[in-house]
Amino acid sequence: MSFDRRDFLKLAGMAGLAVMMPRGAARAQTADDRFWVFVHANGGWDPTSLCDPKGRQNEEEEDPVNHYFTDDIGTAGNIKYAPVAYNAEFFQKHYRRTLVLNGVDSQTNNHDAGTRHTWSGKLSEGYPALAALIAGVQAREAPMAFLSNGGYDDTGGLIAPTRTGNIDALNRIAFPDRVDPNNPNGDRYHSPETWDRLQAAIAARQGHLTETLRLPRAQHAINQLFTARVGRNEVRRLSEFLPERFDDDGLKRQAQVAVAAFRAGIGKAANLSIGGFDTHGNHDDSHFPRLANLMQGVDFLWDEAERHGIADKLVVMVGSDFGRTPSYNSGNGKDHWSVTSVLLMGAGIPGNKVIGASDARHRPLKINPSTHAVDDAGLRIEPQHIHLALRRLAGIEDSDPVRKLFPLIGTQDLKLLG
Amino acid sequence: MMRRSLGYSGALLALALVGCDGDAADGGEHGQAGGEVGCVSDLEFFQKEISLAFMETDCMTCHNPQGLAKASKLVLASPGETGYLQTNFDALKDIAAYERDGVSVLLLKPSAGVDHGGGKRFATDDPRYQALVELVARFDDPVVCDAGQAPEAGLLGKVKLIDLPATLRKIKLQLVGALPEPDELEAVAEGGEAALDARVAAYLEEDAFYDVLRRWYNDAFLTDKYVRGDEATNLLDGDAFPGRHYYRDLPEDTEEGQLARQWANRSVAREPLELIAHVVRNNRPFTEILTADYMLLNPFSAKVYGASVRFDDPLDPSEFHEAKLPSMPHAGVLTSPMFLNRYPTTPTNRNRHRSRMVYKFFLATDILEKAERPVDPTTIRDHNPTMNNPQCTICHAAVDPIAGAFQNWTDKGRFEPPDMGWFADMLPPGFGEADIPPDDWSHSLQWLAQQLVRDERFALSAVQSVYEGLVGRPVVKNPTDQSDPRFEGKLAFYNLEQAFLRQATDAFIAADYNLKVIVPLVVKSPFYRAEDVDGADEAETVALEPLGTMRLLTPEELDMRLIATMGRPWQRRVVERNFLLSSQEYRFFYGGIDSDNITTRISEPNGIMANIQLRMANEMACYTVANDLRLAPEERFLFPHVETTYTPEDDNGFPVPQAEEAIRRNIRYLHHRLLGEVLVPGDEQEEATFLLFLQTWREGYQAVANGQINRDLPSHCQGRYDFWSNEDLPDAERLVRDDRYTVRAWMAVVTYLLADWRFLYHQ
Repeated sequence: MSFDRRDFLKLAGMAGLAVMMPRGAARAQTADDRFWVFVHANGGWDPTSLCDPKGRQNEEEEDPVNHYFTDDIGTAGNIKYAPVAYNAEFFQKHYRRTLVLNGVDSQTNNHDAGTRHTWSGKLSEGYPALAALIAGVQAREAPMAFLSNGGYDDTGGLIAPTRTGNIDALNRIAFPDRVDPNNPNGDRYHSPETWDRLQAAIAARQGHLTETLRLPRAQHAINQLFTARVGRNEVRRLSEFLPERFDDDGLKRQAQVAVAAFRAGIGKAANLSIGGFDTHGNHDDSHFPRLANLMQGVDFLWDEAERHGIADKLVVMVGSDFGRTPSYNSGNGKDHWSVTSVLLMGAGIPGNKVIGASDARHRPLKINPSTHAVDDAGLRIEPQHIHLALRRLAGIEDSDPVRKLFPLIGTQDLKLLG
Repeated sequence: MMRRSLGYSGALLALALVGCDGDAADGGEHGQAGGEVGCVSDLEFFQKEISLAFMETDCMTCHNPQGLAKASKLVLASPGETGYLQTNFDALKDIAAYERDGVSVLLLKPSAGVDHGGGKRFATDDPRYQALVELVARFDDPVVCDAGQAPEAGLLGKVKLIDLPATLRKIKLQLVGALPEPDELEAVAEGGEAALDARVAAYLEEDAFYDVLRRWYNDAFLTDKYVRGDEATNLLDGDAFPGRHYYRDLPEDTEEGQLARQWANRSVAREPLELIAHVVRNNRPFTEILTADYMLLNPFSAKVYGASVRFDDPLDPSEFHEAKLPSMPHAGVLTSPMFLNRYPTTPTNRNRHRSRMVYKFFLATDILEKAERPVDPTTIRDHNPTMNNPQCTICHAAVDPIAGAFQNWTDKGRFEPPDMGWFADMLPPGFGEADIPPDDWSHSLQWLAQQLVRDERFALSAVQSVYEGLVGRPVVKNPTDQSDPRFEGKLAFYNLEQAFLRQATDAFIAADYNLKVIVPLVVKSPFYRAEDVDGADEAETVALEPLGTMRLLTPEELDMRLIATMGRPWQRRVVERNFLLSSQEYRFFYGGIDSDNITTRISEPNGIMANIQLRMANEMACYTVANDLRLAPEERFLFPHVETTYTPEDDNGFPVPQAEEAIRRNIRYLHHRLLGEVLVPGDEQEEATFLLFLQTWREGYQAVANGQINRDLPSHCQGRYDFWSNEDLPDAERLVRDDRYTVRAWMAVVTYLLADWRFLYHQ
């Protein structure tokens, strides 16, 4: 006998509980079957060393944007890439599924604000990460709906993030009623009947608390605990899909857990994060290895998704706090620069394409909203435009939480995804 | 006197800030529009229509103490500075008094009616100009609203607080990890707030409080990154401190060798946190955390640093003494090697990161918020823009002088004054408008520390740290997005909270910066004691969203609560790992931090954390119920009123009233002990818990009688050993059998209560 999500929800109804809802919002579930991964290059990456290459004409060029030569800039389909790090391998393999957005104006040089802007679409505080927004609207009952490994993981109160630790402990966590989690026929702490009775009593008790404590923060906390418990039995399905051996690389390990959660049907969106990009000194030697790690990690993510048969449902966004200055400083480093790029990949993303541009000194150029051609009378691409496009792709832009609580008011639709 | 109203839906804001002296719907002379109306004070109008609307994001770029307009007559204070709103209101009022041809300079400057260094900001038909017009009119003819209705009476009037005994239970659990004794509860019930103050003051003298205080500050400083292995001592210069690894040479089989290995690195890593604890414990002015001209060393860290200090017990890691290292100009936390390493610098960063952290930790200011405003790199073409371009100087003018004050400390936190002096292409080392005098260059951080503690924001930062630690969330930030549908509510709460913080800051300063005075102020406030609300409308509900302390306990707090209520932590044996605190177990799954890669806590549970809670509830019930019932009643934590022989029904199925009453009494006791609930006999919650006990008992009692299940308890749930001594018990003292199935029925009850929201959350 097991006490599953259906039983819990039935009890919730009996107890007068609402599985946690965004404040002031009605429930909204959509049929989007995509899985979403947001990869954050923490510290502010250098797009000119990745997908918006500038280079230098010759060794005599003063104050070059990059130290590599323009002649060495690579091309994969319609996408140009800097001839450094793991770029060639990555873009040659993935250009068909990759949309490059260049000249993106992050409007800030502040790490926190830039990270927030890139991943929430809003420079000011208060908006959730897109991963949390999608998971919160579409899959808030799933126990690992929003898996966060860092970066910007504000949830706007929509959903609780999940963080992983020692993977070996997952079995004990998955089966809290078993004395030996690996022995389904072994001792239990309570008989199955008592265990079910306990779940019913706990749910009824939460209903009582919801009725008697009406302070918004108390209501929110009680509902959040209840919601966390609704899908808790499904955590055990994760163990079926975790790899026997985890990769030594942190980003790849994050990808393994995320894909396993997707495959197990308990995850919807994940933030992956890799640091080391804030290279104020010795830029090329420090930055390029991190870029290689980043793109190898994204490459690995796709391989892992293929292995689990979910690659056709995967959407990936790769971005960073902001960009880096077009000049090297006296320490051969690069400082903060508010112009950046974003990579979009996967299901529903038009690949082999570049939208937006920057000039030779990495200043953002405006584009025509209709044709996407460079146009002085047009608009700069900002994170809000990207988020509007992705919200539409996810089918959440008209949902109550998005419309009522986190609207992108006045954002012009640049039709970045066609 | 006159009244004016605003066209925006300002009713809630008015409710939060002031009451009105009459019906304001007559419109007044300026700015009247339809919709909800209310009396809007001048300061309130200024905050919403001027300061938040455009001044903070536009005018303040240049008009700040370090900005391009710092020499003008209009120099504005930044958000985050105590009383910045009133300061800026007064500044604008002064400017508005200047006129040309009958028009206020406050209107002429931004509209370029006269020469303005910042050019034309907007035209005269712009809503911003119109807002200034109304402000000038208000300066001439102030709006006075009825102050009879205090904010608390408005927004907080419908909020219900927990009573004083419940407040005592809450604060004692939080600060010292123990339940109040009956006489303490009685004293507070009779003696009111004065008695509560006295008890809280006593808790602030207990060692456990200083563990909590260290944790609050480590959550900010993150210096515990270095507590593991040799990570702290490795940071020290081997030439300057040849004894940094002295403990490696000590024999492992001696007490000194074992203790030194355990404590030397840890004591070095914890030095800045120990300094804070030392200052507070000894009722010193909190300013000493920056001005201390000493380090705080125990016998182990003293040997690491080679400091000659006499200790009463050279093996006591809790014995700390103030000590000065030769040729080291100490400035409290600022010169701590751990602090300097945790926030390192690079040749091009030039201590700016350290400067930012000084603003954040000690001046209650996120300096980079100034850089959050949209910046446009295409406009930056200046030579040395960090000194000359307003988009850069907005931060750098404030950041760079403090960065320069760190000039004598290297990226590794070593004291090595630069041979060639500080960088000439930066603003000179200093603070605000003051440059460091040449005579003070050799001890520039000591000079800086004296400047910092004189700034009122230092006091505010200390108040905020205590407030955030107690309330369990960051102070609400100034809302800036007026398109946010919840803007009005956010602004109302922000104003309310800021008013409280200002009062607490004043009290803190008046008490000569004794940090202990802040705690009872917060504890007695609605921000700590709010539990319920009655009759709030939708707008008020939005405004009250941040109110209360309800949040998931951290792994450390849940561990404290288990020990306080159950008498032991969540671990199988005392020599084994603590499931909540060990990084190899559930610490990170349960939202804990390692101060290195994982630096923010998860305060709301997910599915994995929900399962950890249930496993904890199951295992703790298993570990404790039999072990408690085997003790004499007066020694028990959980079951003082029942025995294993107490069954609710006899063998024939008839009720046993005396036993049932004892069981119910123990249930009420458990609700109070574990959840803080005071139930009267017959309460529906007592009934629900009794039903769980009864049904579980009936099911199991029959199964035992029928031989379907074992009379013995599962081996891991038997009372066979004493947890703290880790000694096995003699057979006569063990409890291994459960013939009547009462032990297992009580296990179900304890599981139920440990899994309860009230147990798992800070409330």
